[in-house]
Amino acid sequence: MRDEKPYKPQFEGGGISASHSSEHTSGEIDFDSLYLSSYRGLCAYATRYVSIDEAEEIVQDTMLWLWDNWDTIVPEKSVKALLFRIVHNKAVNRIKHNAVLSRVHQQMERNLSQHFESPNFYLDKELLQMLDEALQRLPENLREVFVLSRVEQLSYKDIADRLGITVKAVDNRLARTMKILRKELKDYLPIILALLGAGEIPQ
Amino acid sequence: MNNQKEMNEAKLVAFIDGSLSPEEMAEVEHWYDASDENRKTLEQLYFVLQLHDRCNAVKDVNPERALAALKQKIAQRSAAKRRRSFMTLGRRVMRYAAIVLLLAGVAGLGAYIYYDKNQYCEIVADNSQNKTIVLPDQSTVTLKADSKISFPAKFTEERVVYLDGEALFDVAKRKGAEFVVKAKGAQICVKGTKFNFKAYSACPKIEATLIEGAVDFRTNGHKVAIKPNQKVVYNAESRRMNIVEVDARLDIFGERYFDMEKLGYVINSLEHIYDCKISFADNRIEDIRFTGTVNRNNSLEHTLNIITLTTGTEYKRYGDAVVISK
Repeated sequence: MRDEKPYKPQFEGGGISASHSSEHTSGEIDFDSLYLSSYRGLCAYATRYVSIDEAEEIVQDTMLWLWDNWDTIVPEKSVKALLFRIVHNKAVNRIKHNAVLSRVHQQMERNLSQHFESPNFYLDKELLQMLDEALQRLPENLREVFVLSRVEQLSYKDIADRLGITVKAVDNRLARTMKILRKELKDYLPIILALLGAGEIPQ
Repeated sequence: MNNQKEMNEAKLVAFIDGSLSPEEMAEVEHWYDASDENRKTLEQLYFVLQLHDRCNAVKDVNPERALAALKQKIAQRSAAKRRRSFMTLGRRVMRYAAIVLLLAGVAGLGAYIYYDKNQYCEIVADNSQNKTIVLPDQSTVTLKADSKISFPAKFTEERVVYLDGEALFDVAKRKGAEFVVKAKGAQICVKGTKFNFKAYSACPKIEATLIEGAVDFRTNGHKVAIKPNQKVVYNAESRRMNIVEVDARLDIFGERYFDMEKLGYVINSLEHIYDCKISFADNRIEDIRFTGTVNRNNSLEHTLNIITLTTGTEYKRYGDAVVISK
């Protein structure tokens, strides 16, 4: 069924990770391929804390550091983890004011931190491709609302005005989308199921 | 609890985004605590949205272009490093060369720097020392402290340089080609000339003093032609512009050069520079010729010593008044 619809990636580059790194295949990795395979993921990670412009600046700084210290770093598997660590510290330092999160936000962050703080979350192409495809398979009227809400960041009211529908309808469409996405992704997200324990997603 | 089905997922999305009212937030929090199932639902939503939002944030990112930009930065930096080490070497050479040249009675020496083609150069004089550089068209620039100039390593038809700070320009004449200095929205256009341009980004005042030749000072559509020994003072904030008559060399270097001038004339200048009263014990002294440089930064005593020793005269000070006698 998936093959009937041509796959049109929503995100240019087809996900956060540009390509799989060759770092596991040999003891030597070259700077360029490491850069290209982790740049997008590092930027995505930094946008948890700062704007994309600042994120790119931070990642570029970090890469310059890597360039300068290339000889002193043993190029091995941990380089990516190190880069994520550095970007994290730089990004957190940039935050002017911490958004006050609710207790539940903090709890969710804690429960999910092993994902959000893991380079794999940002570099795993497969996971992102699943999301992409799930979005592409959404009925047009649902995807429209989702994009206006998440990408254009319009309020439910503005979306309703824009599409000439009621706020209630926006609510319903978004709710349906979220249900679909959770259902679609559950097969591809063993990590979240493992974390939360097996169980059916309530329909 | 059994209210999990009543919770609209759009509301959960709004909760995750922090756009709910305090009452609604409390409601969702209560719902989240009610069962593991609810907790799982919200956390899955949170996960999916995080995944989407992070991915969406970087959708326009171009790693190839970013890598190219980084490589360029690295290349420019190592070029700058090469220039710096050349400057240090240049300074050592210059020290000896300066002695030789001073003996020959020639003052001033430029440092030649060689640049790679197609590159943009930036030179900073960050300490108290002035830096003299030669531009690709053989024009020389003396950068004052805390000043920065950037220019292409190779000029095309147009010669444009950017200045932040103060610099003295001695522009080489080139047929038909203008030389333009840009700074803080103002610019000076010249053909071949010698002028000083002061435009620190931290200060609203821009000053340009012309020593020789002719320049156009342009800003915000205004265009003013400046003649030698004129100084244009422009305030970028109030947009007021003034043209003042000055002794350009005195203004820029704080020094005045006299070439076989009568002492009567020299003393006149000194009175202005030092704001004092100088007279002669004998009128005939006025006609004695003096050749040399007087620097405002030296004390009056020092200057008077130079003048009297080289002209075979002597002086006596009475407070603000000075009398020169033979």
